[in-house]
Amino acid sequence: MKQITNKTSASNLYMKKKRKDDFIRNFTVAFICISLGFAAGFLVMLISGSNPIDGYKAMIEGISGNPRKITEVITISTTTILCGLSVAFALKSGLFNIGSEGQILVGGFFSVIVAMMLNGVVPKSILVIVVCIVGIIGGALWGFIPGLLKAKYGVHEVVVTIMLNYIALYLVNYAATFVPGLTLRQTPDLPIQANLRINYFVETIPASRLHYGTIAMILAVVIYYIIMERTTFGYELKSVGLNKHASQNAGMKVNKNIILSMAIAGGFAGLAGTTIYLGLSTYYPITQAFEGFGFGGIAVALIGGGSALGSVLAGILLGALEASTSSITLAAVPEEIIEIIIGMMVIFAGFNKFFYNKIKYRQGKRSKENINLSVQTISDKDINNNIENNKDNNISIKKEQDNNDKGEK
Amino acid sequence: MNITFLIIQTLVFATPIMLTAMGGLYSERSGVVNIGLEGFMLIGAFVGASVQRILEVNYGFGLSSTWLGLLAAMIVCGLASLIHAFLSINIKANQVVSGTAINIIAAGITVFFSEIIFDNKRTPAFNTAYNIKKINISALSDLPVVGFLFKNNIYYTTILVFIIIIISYILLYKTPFGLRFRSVGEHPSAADSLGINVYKMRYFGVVVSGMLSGLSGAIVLFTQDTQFHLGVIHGLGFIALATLIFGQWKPLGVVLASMLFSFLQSLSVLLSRVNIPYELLSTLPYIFTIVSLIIFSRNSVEPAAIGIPYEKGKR
Repeated sequence: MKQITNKTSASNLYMKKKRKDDFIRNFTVAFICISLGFAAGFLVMLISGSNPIDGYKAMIEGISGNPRKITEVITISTTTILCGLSVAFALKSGLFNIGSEGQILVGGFFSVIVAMMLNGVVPKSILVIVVCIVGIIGGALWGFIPGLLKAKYGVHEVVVTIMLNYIALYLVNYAATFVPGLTLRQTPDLPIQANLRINYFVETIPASRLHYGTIAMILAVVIYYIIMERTTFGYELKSVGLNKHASQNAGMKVNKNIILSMAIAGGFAGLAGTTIYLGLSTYYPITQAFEGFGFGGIAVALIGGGSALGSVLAGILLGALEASTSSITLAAVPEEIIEIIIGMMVIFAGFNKFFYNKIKYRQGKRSKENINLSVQTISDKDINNNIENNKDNNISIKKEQDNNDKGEK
Repeated sequence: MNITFLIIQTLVFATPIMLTAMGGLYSERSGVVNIGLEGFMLIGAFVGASVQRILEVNYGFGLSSTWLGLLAAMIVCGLASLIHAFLSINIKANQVVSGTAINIIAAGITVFFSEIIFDNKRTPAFNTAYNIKKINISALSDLPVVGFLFKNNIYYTTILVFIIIIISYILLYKTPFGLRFRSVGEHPSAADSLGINVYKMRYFGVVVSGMLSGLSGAIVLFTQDTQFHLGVIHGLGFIALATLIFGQWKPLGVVLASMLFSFLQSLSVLLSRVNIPYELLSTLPYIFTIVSLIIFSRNSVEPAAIGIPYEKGKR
């Protein structure tokens, strides 16, 4: 089919304008969602008899009072951003990765084991790189399974990832029983030369947890952006996410994309696991429950709208909220208010289409004339020609299809 | 002895899973994905625990406080599900988004109010005298094979759940209403053109799903735990979701799938007494679910309109 490839400066201008409008619109929508989330938190505190102003004051103090608190925001955001990227990556290709929890456990456990083995054997710089890679591999392995099952047998990825979460939880706990020096609650504490924390900050800021995982996270964000926006692979992923059958017809390998997408999503979550067990803590805890970061990742992906920048901003927001948990209890507000606020933001993120259309309508009204001007420069004749061509093509294609249908019958 | 233990334990585990999956069936058959089942169960458990506690301690209700707790859980979750219904039906939001939001909020708001009301992250442990009773009918306990079921082994709630499922089956498959209801999940615009109110049907589905999963959460609380805490549901809502898909969105399938899952779970409890590592046994039901999904995956019959908001006049 002949397509409109008329790249006049006018249409470029139009696209630029459209992109800018889209950006502003998305940003405004996100801003509205977040503000409404805080407003809802305010109301809940008010209804439950706590003082909302004190609550929010404590929250702000909790993330900005002293250098350590700021580092807390950075370290926790590192993990929330990575979890957000994991969910967002799968979401872009139409898959719902509810299995970040399991991928975190597997990736994290792998890197703890490797860190224990390399402890004192190699310099820290090499160890950091190796454990990050091992974490990614572990997570990717756990993400690969649901992808494979989805592609090969059409098994619903939601079920498989839920099941794999529990399997990971129990299997890793079982594997941990073979770790030397295991106590009832955790694997042995890893010293500074074998975990991700940065010596300099550990010495200068008391009790800070800044770690090299943050650098890995920044790299991950860049990679996410490049894959999604700058490569054919990313384009195919998004295309598969929007319409599987159309992508198949266009010659894309849908199954391969599904498997890769889940594996890469798992890789992000696995790296998040590394940052949890070698950055936030320095051991693997024997637990019967999940960390909760994976579900936080779903919230990040949904609030951030799935883009790299959106995930970073939403991840920082969530990280800051989580970091303020400890100080909010001082204001006599139960710390669970944080989760309520996050949940409310996700609810309002559900409204995004609604807000989006409202804003679009207003924007459209305001800048109608500008757009009209730029569009008019493409001559009407060109457009008409194109439409005519398309019509002819459509008809011929339809006829072909009809013939095919008849043939099949 | 061991076989009776297995059967009884299976029924205890299966009761809430079945009920929640049935709730999910109502919602998904009408075309609305409900990933918030876990959240509704948690809310149900909390409401059940606190209502029971308050009625028992402050107002002197006896055994009836437990049943009123179950009722309250059902009503509150029915109301809470209106949020999900409004978002996914009227606002046409992504249904996974609002379901996830409910899960997150439920985890926060239950503990939040527990701290406000009871000044603790857990509700006080309830008086075991007022637990849900087990069935004890001496006339039936002499029956040859199934007699043991009536000898203080099965909770009344298990029977209640089976009654609910049978009623649901009749309602959904043997009445004109059921046919209309299911048609909304398959082809809403066709249903609409025949004068069926798609929105109303979907509201019905989501609200019933909320009510059933809330009830189920309270049942978990009263039959498997001693107090409300954040881990009381421990993923049962997600298991129920998996059961629903495994059971092919059909009542009988759901019953069988949850029975199978719970049987394996009880088996792993039983086997862990014999020197096999508990952690490995615990993975058994989950692995088995995946394997059977692979085997049965070829003929999956998802409701056709699932997850798609209905817009009038859209082709």
